Amino acid sequence: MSAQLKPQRHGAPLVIADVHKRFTQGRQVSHILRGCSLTIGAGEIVALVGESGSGKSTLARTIMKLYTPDEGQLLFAGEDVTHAKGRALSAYRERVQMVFQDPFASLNPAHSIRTILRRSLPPSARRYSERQREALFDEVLTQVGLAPASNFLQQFPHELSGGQRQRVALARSLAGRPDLVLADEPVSMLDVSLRLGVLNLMLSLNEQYGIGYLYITHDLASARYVASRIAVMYAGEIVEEGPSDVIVEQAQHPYTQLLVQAAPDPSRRGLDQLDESVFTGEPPDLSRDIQGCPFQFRCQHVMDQCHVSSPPLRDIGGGQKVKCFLE
Amino acid sequence: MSTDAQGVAAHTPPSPPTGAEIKRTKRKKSLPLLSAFKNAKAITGLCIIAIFVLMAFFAPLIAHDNPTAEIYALNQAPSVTHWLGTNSLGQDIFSQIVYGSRISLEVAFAAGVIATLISLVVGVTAGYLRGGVDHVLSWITNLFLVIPSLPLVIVLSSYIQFRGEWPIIAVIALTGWAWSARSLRAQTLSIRERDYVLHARLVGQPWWSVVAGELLPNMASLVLSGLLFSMIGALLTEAGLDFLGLGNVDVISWGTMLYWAQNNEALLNGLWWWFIPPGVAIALFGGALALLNFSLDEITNPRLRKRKVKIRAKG
Amino acid sequence: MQRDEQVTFSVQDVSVSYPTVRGWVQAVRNVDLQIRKGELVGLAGESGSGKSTLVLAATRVLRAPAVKVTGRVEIMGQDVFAWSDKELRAQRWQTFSFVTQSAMNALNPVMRVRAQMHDAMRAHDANYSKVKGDKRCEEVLRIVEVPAAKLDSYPHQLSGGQRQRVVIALALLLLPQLVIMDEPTTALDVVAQREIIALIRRLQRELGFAVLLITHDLSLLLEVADSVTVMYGGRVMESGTSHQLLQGASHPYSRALIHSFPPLHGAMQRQEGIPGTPPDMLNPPTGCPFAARCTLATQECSDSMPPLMRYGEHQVACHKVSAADTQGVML
Repeated sequence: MSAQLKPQRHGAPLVIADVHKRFTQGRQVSHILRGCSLTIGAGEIVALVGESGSGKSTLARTIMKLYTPDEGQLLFAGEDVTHAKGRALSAYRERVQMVFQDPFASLNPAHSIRTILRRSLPPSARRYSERQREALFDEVLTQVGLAPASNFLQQFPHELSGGQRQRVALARSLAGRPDLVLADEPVSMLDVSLRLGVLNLMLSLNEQYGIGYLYITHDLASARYVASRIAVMYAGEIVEEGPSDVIVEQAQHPYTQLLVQAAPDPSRRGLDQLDESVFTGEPPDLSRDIQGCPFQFRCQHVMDQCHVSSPPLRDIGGGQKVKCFLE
Repeated sequence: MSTDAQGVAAHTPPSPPTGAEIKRTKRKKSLPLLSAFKNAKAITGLCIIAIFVLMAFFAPLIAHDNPTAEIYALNQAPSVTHWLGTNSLGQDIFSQIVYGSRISLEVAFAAGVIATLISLVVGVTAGYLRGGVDHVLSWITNLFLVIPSLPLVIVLSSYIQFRGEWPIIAVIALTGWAWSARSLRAQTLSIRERDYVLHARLVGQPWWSVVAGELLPNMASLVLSGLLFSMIGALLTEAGLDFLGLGNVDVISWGTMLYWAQNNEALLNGLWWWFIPPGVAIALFGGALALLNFSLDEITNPRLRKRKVKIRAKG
Repeated sequence: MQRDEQVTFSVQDVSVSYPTVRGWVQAVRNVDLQIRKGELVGLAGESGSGKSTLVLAATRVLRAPAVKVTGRVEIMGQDVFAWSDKELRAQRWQTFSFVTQSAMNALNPVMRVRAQMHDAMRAHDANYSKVKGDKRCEEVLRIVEVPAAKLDSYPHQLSGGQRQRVVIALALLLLPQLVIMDEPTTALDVVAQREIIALIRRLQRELGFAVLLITHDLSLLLEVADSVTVMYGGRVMESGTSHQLLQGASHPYSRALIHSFPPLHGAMQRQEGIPGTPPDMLNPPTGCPFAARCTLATQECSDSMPPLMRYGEHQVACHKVSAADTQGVML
């Protein structure tokens, strides 16, 4: 049956090149994205880690083309989609989908799961016969662990648990056979014991279908678990990126080091107490122009240079890049 | 799979609950309409409304007398021949009530529906499109809100020549849509930001599909409530206008009955069977609509079904 | 139960149930909990475990007829349920106080910070005077490291982190012996969370109050709390010092929960969460509530609730765990 449906692709790369985004409210201009560059390879899982206010949600929305970049480019499968409209935009959105954070708000409470899946079908799938559609729904629900599908299709969102709702969200994005899924904190609102189930599901969908993921989170541990590469975002910039293990064990940027230290680590118990004085300060106010490195106000290793100019993104080998003046 | 000391096979972890298991612990999904029949308020309201509607529809079969014929004995109290007696003009009051319901119901339903439609279009458009469109529509809504409706209706009615009920229906609808529009706009603004609406837009749903498919089902309770509210308002306004003599006084409606009763000093003459029945009819029908309104939330939102729980209050 | 002068908060065999349209929900069943002076005790559990209900009912925030509570609760040795309403009001905030979930939204948006603090003091401090109140406001903001000028601000004029600190300051106004924090850092980023936890521990050292920290983040508790109690399905599954639980948590649920947090360092391997979903508290299963999801469960587990076995400070309620296991021998 599924042979008659759209064949599975093997992902396509997304390149974000020096993207800027400003928002104007009255006379105040907030520079939210301040030169973000990131590449997500075909079928790769990349994690985007940052605090709230770092701009990660704005970046996600810009990738989804809800916002258009003020500067910079978005390249998908080699094509420039920065200003895509109309049919090109539809085609792009069919291949790049989004999964939201709040399982209680991402499914329409007035619709059954079947309706939700049906309404999520991309334009190209809308001409399927009813039999093909049912087969597709059956397939995607089973893939996400909601079997037998027939029982779930007629249920309503409020009858499912948070974990099950996120699985439905993944199922509906799967129905369109996307190349890339943006998962914006998909497990932070779930119970702890359910999180790994959903994360493992993402991993298996990646293995099986070659779907790439941009996993947005503030939890470094789960980022390492799921992603092969981690990008760290601060104040609208990507300050460090590299292979997951390298980022965690050999973080070069002071902010990344801060994140690593801040993560709960039971094995730290009984050893030397953390120097808790490093955990001070707040992200900068992005409505004001920042001269120099945005982390200068919180950095333990700040130098004169940092107040004057913003450091460039340096490639330090092994796939790791850092935006810092420190050697 | 290991076994413990007693040789009983250890329990393998069950797979995530299947739909079958879930069904067992959850009550069956019931259709909203069916649940209406279980709600006492809704049943009462619907029954009363049904009685009036049937009465209006089958008027000729129910009332044998011509409501306008002034051929009967004057001022007769209720009796077997005239169930609600006769008035000072020699008309049978029962048949007046029965035929009069047609006007009142017609205006209530029509004006209510039209007002709701206007408020839906204005409110949802303003809330969904926001920006300049919203500014203009909100300004218009506020304008209509501020205009005192009864005086406006009175003034308009005095100028309009009456041919049938439609002028009055139009006037009532035009003065009554603004309040609903505001609340619909507010709810649209709120729902519009939800993730599922955003998702619908992202997967390429056209705007009308987003509005009709994603927004409206979640606003059903508010729309229905607004509709019932408008109907009650239309009923009372129409009765008021007729009572003031601003309607066509030669047509029989509950309001005109009150007008004629007033004109012929029915109260002073103790002809209670002339003015009480139309008053009761208006109150009953309006009350039935209100009852239905109260029960609405419980019907459209399956999670809010109320049931009595006996609690022994202890410290 | 021996009445220990050092015991700040004592919950003895407390059960809490509340009525719903479908019947009585047994949210908490036979829970024991002790907090000693100056301790940081963690209460871990997922949604539906009953941890919040337990604490709200034990402090009489939830009242009859909304809930039915059995058992005994003592604060500073006094029977909480014996207090009259007047006494309860006096004890609130003086003896114990709350920092709630989504603390940032717990501040009244139309009142200045100073006014909210005075409000709290006026309600609970018999010796309240405006002058003393003002002085206390300044003191308390100082210890949470928020500039005193912020006293005359509205909540929306403060940053998120400052609002969080103000709520903590509010809780400390009358120098209580016990501060109960219900998921205070759940909505925060890891750095902000670390800041708040560091602040709380510093304040504990300075002021000597005990803290009951309720959260689902077991890994955080294992790092910072003195002792941890793990709840599931309204019951205590395991409790002990963090050290004991780290060495070898014995209860299958605790172990599975600990393994639900992918480690930051060390070997990367595929981990499993816990399959299934929490039990229906309307018809709680007879026997152990975790039996349906447990890899070790047998018929015995579904039939009867395992008793809470005490091995010194370490307590476990599981049929499959013996004394030997709690000494650190892994199952």
